[in-house]
Amino acid sequence: MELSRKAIPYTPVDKPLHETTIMIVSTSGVHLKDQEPYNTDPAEGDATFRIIPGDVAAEDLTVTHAAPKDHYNTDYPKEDINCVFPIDRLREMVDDGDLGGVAEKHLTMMGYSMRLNKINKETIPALVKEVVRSKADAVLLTAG
Amino acid sequence: MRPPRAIHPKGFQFGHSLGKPNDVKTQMKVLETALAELMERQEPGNIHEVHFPSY
Repeated sequence: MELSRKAIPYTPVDKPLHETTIMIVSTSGVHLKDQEPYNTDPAEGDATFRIIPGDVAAEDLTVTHAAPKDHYNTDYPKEDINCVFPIDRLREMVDDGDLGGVAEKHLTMMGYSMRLNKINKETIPALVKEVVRSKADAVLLTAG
Repeated sequence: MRPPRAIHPKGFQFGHSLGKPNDVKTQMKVLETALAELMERQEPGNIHEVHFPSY
């Protein structure tokens, strides 16, 4: 279905938070340390996304982002990934019974990617397929 | 970017989307406030500014 560019899709939620499974979808440039880093060359840009396994350990994640440091200082999330990718906080909410679950995977991209047309036409549809096929009831969007 | 539900923590630096490194308390507050938006029926597209005193 083609949505108007002005339309903001809105889906009412039909279950309480303690039964809801959340996936993180983030443009903060987070990736596994052993995944290919995002391309920070603005002449090339980067329209790819990474799949982060749901059971990831926070210390196995890092950040690669093309934004200038005064726009987005990646030293902070490199010290504690939860600054932009709150995986430990979500797990704590599940442990406390306040959240139903954390999805089996999470998705990340790099903002400042310079490839908006490709992202709109190719990356986002592929990313949406990943979300729809997952157990997630809703996504938490975070930026850097 | 026009997400259906959004919060804007006031005064947070870039890189501190949920709070400063290891500030578990603020990070949790921001997360809980963001997820609470999900449960509240509302007009889509509003960005709610929120002040987090512990930041």
